[in-house]
Amino acid sequence: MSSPTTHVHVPAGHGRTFEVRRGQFITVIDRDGQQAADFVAIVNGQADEYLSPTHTRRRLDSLFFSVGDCLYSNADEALLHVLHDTVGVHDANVPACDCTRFSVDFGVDGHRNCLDNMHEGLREYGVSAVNVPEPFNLFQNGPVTADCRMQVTDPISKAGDRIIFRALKDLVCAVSSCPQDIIPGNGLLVTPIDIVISDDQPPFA
Amino acid sequence: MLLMKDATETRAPLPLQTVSVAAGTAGSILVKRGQLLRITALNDGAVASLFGFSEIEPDVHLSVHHTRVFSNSYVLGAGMRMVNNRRRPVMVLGKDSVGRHDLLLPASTTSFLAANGYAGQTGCVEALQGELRRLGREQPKLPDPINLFMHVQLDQQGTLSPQPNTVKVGDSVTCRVVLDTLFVVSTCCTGIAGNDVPGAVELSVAEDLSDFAV
Repeated sequence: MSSPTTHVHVPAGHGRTFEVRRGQFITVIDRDGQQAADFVAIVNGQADEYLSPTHTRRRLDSLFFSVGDCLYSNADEALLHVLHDTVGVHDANVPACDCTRFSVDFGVDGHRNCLDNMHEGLREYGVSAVNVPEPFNLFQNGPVTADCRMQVTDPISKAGDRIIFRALKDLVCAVSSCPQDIIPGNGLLVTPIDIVISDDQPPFA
Repeated sequence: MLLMKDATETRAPLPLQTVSVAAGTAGSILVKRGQLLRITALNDGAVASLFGFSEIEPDVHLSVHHTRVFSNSYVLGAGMRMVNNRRRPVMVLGKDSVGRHDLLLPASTTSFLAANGYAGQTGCVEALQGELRRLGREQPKLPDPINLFMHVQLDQQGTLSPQPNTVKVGDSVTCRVVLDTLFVVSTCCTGIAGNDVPGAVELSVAEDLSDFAV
């Protein structure tokens, strides 16, 4: 008999925060496709240790990660193991959109944004806005051009695409369905993200 | 000095300041809007891990991550704006005798160095913390650095390949600063191959290029 699973629905353009225990599996699903999911994590009870794309880059010697890799903390500890990935294209280099992304770059005040979406839940764990960690932007497509520039483009993910992690420590995670609806990044259509947390490894081919 | 139309927006010129940062330590310098910040290698191979903090807003700091996205570039080039975590320009890279800097890798810690063959060396993070303590400053966030002079090659597959840096004594970068900022520079071992022998640097601040020659 399988153990119960927890479903977390992240409405389009909103955020959700949830806990996972060491050993649990986290499945992040791009429900409708072409939707970036900003993902951050802190070690539960120890907010000064957090998932860090910067430290992960140093361990992997790469901007990008693959199935089989771990994602690391600012203390150089593995926090997540990447078990399965139906897309293979994610970004780990772009900071979360915040109010200034919209006000400074696009002249739009009051827009929903990933930083606020993730901070809404993380503040309950004592995390200030400035200390919301840098995100892994799941399903976001940030290729490197020949002259080392970032290309701004839409994700290649399709409806139902997913990535599965195993948590290697007790974590508090926050996920934002990126509300960017002005430039390429979410196909100009912001859609929900679904998350499944399970004790048992989800089946995958 | 900035060439302002309104003379009331021009402050009195400040004298040249210099701060030497010995290899394996951290030093700091306060730079006012309109001044030029120059960072000069005093030893071959020096790496300067740069941090910047708003003089007046504790939650505002120089952000390597926002700097990349602001210019849609994984590498730092002449004319690029280095921005803070509110996406406002802090300074612009105006002169650069090196042309290779890193915007992607973290600051070392003492424990990282000990675990990676550099036992007994102080990490950039601890050196930064020590300098902030010396200044009596508490920062809510210790941001990732801009690693000036560090040479890490990036290819289109995203692979990062550290290369021996080619920095020579006297190499420098010069930036026009547009926000009052406390800059801290660590010259500690980075733990990145080819960029892991600490070297001294000099920080200098002047109103105009001609002041540096004095």
